[in-house]
Amino acid sequence: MQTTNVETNKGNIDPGKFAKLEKTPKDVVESGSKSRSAGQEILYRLYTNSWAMVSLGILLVIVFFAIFGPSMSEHNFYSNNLDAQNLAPSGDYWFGTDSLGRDIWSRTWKGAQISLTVGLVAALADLLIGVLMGGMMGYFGGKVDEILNRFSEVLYAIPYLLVVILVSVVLGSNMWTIILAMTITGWINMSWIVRGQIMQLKNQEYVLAARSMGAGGFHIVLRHLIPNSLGPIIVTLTLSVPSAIFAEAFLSFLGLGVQSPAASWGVMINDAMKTWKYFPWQLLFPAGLLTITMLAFNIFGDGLRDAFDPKMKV
Amino acid sequence: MSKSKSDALIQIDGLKKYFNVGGGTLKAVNDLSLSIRQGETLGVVGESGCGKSTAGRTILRLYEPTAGSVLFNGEDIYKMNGSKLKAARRNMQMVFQDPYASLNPRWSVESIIAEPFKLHNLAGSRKELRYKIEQLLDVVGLKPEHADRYPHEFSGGQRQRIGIARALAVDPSFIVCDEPISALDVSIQAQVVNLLKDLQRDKGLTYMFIAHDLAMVKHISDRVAVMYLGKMVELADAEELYADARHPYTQALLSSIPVPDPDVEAKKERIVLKGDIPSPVNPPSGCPFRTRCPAATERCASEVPELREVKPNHFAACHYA
Repeated sequence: MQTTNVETNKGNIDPGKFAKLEKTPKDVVESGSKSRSAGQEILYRLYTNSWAMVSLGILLVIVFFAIFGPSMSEHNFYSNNLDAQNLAPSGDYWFGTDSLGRDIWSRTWKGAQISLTVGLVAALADLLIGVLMGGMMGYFGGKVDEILNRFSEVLYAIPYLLVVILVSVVLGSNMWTIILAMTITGWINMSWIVRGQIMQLKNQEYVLAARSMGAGGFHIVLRHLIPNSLGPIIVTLTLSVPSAIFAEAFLSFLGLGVQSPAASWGVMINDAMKTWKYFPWQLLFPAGLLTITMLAFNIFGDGLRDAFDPKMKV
Repeated sequence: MSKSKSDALIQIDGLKKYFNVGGGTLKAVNDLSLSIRQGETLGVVGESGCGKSTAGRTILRLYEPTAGSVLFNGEDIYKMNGSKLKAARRNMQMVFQDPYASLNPRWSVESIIAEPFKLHNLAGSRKELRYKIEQLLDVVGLKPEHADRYPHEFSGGQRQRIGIARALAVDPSFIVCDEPISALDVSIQAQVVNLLKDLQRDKGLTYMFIAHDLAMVKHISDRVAVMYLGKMVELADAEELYADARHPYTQALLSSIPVPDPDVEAKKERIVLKGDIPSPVNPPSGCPFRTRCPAATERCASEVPELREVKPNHFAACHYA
C-alpha cells in the first residue's frame, strides 16, 4: 500500500521495481468471494467430479427408459408370439425376442422398472427405519441403546436368504415380498451408522448450547443431529440401492423373487441362461443393464462420499 | 428468602453431581454450596478434572443433579419443568470453551444467532430478526455482513464472539463462561475478556467465569472460588485471595503464576505439587488434598475439613488455614 514511501528509505531499493497496487489486499479480501454453505460446497464438489456426473447421467437415461421404454415399442412385455421366437434384434423387435416370442426391449425396461422400484423402495425403507432406530439408540443411549442393539444383533444373525424364503412362503413371491424381506434385515446397517454419528454429535457443544437455550429433544434431533449426520446417511443410502437391486435380480434368478410373466432382470437372465450360446442377446441386454446400473450407482455413491468428506479422497 | 441473601442472584446449596462410570461413582461435584451475587463475576479455578465445568453445567441444569438445589432469584430451577424451565433458561446462558465445537458447522451465523429467538418465539418478522442479529453482531464487535457467513470462515476469537452474541440474544442476566478463553490465542484472550467486561458493565450481567488461568481470573473476577476434586477449597474476594491465600492448594496454584520480572521470577519459590490429582471415583479419606499437600498431618487423613470463615468473607477448607 505504501509503495511511494520506498523512495525515502536509505537502502538500495530501486523504486522502479515497485508499482502501486490498484487494489489493496484488504479490498480484495473484503470484496471477497461469496460464502458458500456446506451444502453448496458439497454440490460443487459433486458437480466437478466427472465420473460421478457421468454415472448420474447414465442413471437418468435408465430411469427415462424405464418409464417410457415399454410404451415406445408396439409390442407389450407379456404377450407370447409363437411366430416370433428367439428373433435377433431388428427394426421391428429392437432387442430381439425370447423363447416365447416376447419382446425383449419391453421386458428389459419393465425389468428396469422393477429393479429401480425395489432398489429405491428398499433403500427408503432402510432409511426410515434405520434413521429412526439408530437415532433412538444414539440419542437416548443407556438401556434403550442396549435393548435395541441386542435386538438388531439378533436380526443381523439370521441369514437373510432364510428370511426371504420364509416370507415368500408365507406371503407368496412377488416384488413386495422381496422388499419386505430385505427391509427386515437391511435397516440394521443404516441404524448402526446413524447411531455412531449421533453418539458422536450429541456431546458437541452446539447441542449443549441448544439445550441451554431451552431446545427440546425434537429440535435437537431434527435440526442439529440429523442434518449433521446427513453425509454418511446419504452415502449409505446410495450404496444400499445397488445392493438391493442386485439382491432382487439374484433372488429372481433363483426363482425366489418376481415370477414370470412379470419381467425382472433376474428372471430374464435365468430364462436366457439355457440358450445363451445360440441367442446371446437374450442374456446380453438384461445382464448388461444390470451391470451398468450397479456400476453407475456405486460410482455415484463414491462420488457422493468424496463430496461429503473430501478428506476421504485418496 | 432471608434479607442477608437478598442480593444473591444464584444460591447453590449442597449441589452434588455424580456420574456412574465403570467401576464406581465419579463424584464430579461433591457438595458445593455458594451464592453468586447480582452483578458480580465469580471466578472458578482448579485443575482439569476438578469438576468446575460440570458444576457450571449442572447449575444451568444441562445435567440433572444428584442432589442439592440451585435457587435462581429465589426459585429452585431443579423443581421447574416444561415451559417454566424453558422460560428460566432465557435468564441463564452459557459461553463455551471450544469455539470450534460450539457452533453448528452447517448453519450460517444468522441462523446460529436466530436459534434462541426462534426457540423462545421472539423472532418477529424476518426483517426485525435480521435487525436484531445485526445489532448483536455489532455489540460483540463483528460486522453485519458476517451474518451471511459460516463458522468455518472465522478465526477462533471471532467464533467466540459469535458464541457470546448467541448467549446474549435472549437477554440473560446470568452467564456461565466455561473456559471461554482457554482455546484462544493469548493476544485474543484479552480482547474477549475485555468484551465480556464491557458487556457486564453495559447490561449488568452476572458471570460465573470458569478458567484455569489464574492471572486472567484475577483480572475479571470479583470473587474467586478454588475447586479441588469436586469440592470448593477456598473462596474469597479476588484481591484478598491473591494477597493472602490460606489453603495450601491455592498457595501452590498462585506460586505457579509467572511474574513478568526475571529477577523476581528467579528468586521466587514455586510450590511444586507432587503426583497427579487422585481419581474422583476413589477420593482419599479425610481432606481430598492431603495426598499432595506439603503440610498434611494425620488429622487430615481422618477428618474432613469443613469450609469455614477464616477471615471475614474469606472461606477455606483446611484444618490449618
